[in-house]
Amino acid sequence: MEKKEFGTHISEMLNQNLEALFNHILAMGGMVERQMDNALQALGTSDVAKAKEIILFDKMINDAEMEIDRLCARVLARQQPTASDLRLILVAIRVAIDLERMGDEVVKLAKMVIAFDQINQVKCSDVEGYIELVDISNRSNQMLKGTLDAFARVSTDGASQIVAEEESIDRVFSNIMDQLKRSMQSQPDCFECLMEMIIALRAAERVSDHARNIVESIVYLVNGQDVRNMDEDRLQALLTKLQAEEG
Amino acid sequence: MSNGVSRELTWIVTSLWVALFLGWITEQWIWVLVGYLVFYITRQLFSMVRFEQWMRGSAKVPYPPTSGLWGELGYLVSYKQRLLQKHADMQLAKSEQFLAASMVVPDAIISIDGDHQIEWFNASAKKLFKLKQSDTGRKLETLLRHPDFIQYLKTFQPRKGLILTTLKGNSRAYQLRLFRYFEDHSLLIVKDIHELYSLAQIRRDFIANASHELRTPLTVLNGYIEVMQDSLTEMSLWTKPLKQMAQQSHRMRSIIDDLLTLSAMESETLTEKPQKVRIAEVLQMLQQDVAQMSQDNHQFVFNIDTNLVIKGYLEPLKSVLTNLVSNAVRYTPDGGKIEVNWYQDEKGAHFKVTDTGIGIASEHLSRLTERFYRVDTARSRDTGGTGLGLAIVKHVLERHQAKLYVSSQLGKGSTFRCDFPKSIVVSDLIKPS
Repeated sequence: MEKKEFGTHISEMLNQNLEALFNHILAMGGMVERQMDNALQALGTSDVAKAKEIILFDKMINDAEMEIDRLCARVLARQQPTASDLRLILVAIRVAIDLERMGDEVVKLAKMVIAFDQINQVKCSDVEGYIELVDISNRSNQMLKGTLDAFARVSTDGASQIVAEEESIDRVFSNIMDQLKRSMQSQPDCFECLMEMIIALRAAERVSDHARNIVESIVYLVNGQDVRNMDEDRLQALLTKLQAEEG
Repeated sequence: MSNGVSRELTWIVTSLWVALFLGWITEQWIWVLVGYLVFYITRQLFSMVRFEQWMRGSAKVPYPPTSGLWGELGYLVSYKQRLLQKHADMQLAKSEQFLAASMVVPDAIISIDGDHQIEWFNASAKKLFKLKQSDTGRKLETLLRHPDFIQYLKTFQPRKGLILTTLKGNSRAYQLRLFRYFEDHSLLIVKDIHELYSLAQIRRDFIANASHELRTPLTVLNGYIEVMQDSLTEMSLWTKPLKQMAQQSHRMRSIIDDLLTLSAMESETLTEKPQKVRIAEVLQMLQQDVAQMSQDNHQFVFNIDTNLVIKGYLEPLKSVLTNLVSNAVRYTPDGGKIEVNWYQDEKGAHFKVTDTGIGIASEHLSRLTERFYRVDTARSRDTGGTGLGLAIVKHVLERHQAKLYVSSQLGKGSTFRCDFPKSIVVSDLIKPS
C-alpha cells in the first residue's frame, strides 16, 4: 500500500523529484533532531567535546539547506508545478530556512556549554535559569520531533498541541527573563554567567518559535491557508476544525 | 454409476411414469410425449440458468437447483467451497497467531518493503516510535530520521547493527538491526540495550578514573624508593629488596599508563580528525629503540616502503608499531631473527612482523587481544609485559578499520600482520625529506 501524496502525476519525473525533496527535508530535520539531542546531553553533563561536535556538524545542516534550495529550484524550472505541488515547494524552502536557523540556535546552546567551561569557577548547572533552560530545551526538542512527524504524515494532527506548547514556553521564557533581569541588578559580579544564560535561553526559546513556524507551514501545505498572522483563538479554532476533518 | 446421473435417471423414470399415465388416460400419446420432451428440455435449461446465477453469487438465487444432476452439482460445489473456506480460516488463524506473537515480543519490530515503506509493525514499535496505524505505507526514514540510521538503511550492513543513544527523544541506548527477508523486504529490530550500554560506560569510566587515581601515590612511592636507593651504602641488607621494589613499581607504572591509553582511546570522540601518518618515519625511529632493547642479541630485517602513507592517528599508530615490534623482541630468544615489513598490495597497506621466537599455541590465538590475558603467566611477567599491549593494538586498529591477523607455530615463531584498508591509504609519491 503506497501513500498517494506523490503518486498522483502522470509525469514520473515530477513524482520522483517531489518525493526526493520531501525526503531531503525530513533527513535535514533528522540532523537537527540529533543536534538537539546532543545539545541536551552536552547541557546535562557539561560535555565540552560533545558541544564542539555540535558546532562541527552544523556545517552539514547548512549544506542540506542549500541542497534543498537547489532541488526546489530544479523542480520549479523543469516542471512548473501548480496547486499543492507548488505549495510543497514553497513550504520546503520555508521549512529548510527554519531548520537551518534551529541548527544555528543549537550551536548557541553548545557555545554556552563551552563558555561555561572556560569561565571555570562556575558550573553552568549552578547558574540561575539553568532549570528553565533544560526545561525549555527539552520541550522545544519534543516540539521539533512532533512537528517533523506531522510533516512526515502531511497532517495537521497534533498541530494545536504544538501551538499551545509554544505559547506556554513563551510564558516560561518571559518569567525567567524578568527574574534574570532582577538578579543582574542585585548581583553584578555574576554578570558574565547570567549573560551567557540569557543568550542560551533565548536560543532555546527560538527553537520552539521555529517549530511553530514549521507547523504553520504544514497548515499551509495541507489546507492552503496562510495562518502566520492569525490570532491565537482563531488559529486554535481552525486547527481543531482541520483535525476534525482529517479524523 | 455417478451420483448425479443416477439422480437424473430417477427423476426421468418417475416423471416418465406420470407422462405415461397421462397418455394412458388421454390416449393422445404423441402430444403427451412431445409435451414431455419440451417440459424436460425447459427444465434442464431453467436449471442451468439457475445454476449459473447461483455460481455467480446473484442475490436472487440463494440456493442451487435441488433436483437431478444440477442439484448434485450444486451440492458438490458448495461442499468444496466449505472445505476451502475451512482451509482459509485455518490459514488466517495461523497468520493471526503469528502476528499476535510478534506483538508480544518486547523488541520493536517493523517490516518494510523494497522502497522502505512500512508494511506492519508490532505493539512495541508503535509505542517506541509513536507510530500510528495509518503510517503503513509511509517511508520509514521519514519517521525515523536519525542521520546515522538513514546512513545505515542506505548501506545495509546487517551484521554490524547500529547503536543509537537517543531515539525519538528517549535518552536510552538502542540497538537497531536490519534483516532482509522475503525477497526484498526487510525487518528492523530495535532492542533496548540501555542497561548493557551504561554498564560498559561505567566500566570504562571506572578504569579511567581508577588508573588516574593510582598514578599519584605510585609516583610518591617511586620517588622515595629512588632516594633510598641512592642514599644506601654498598652491600646493605636492603639493596636487593629495594631494587625489586623499584622494578615492580616501575612495572605497575607502565600497566597504569597502558590502561590510561586504552581508556583514552575508547572514549575518544569524533572531533579529532585523522591526519597523514608517515609510517616509514615512525619505523625508522622505532628501529633505534628496538636495537637498544635487544642489545644486539637479535638479527633485524626492515623492509619499509618509504612512499606508503596512510590517514590515521599518529600517537595510537605509534603504540601499535612499538607494541608489535617489542613483543617480537621480548618473545624471541637471543640469536633469533625479526623481520618487519611495511608494504602495499591491491587490498591495502600491510604491516607485518615475523619472528623466530617461542610461538603461541593455537588455543590461545583467539584470546590474545583480551586485557591481561597471558599465554604463560610466569614468563610474561619476567619479560616485563603489561598484558595490555595487544588490547591496545586491537583498539587502535579498529579505529582505522584495520584487522589484526596472527599466525603462529609453537617453538618456530609467529607472524603478526595488520591489514589497513585501501580507503585510508594516501598515494603520496613525494619522498619524505
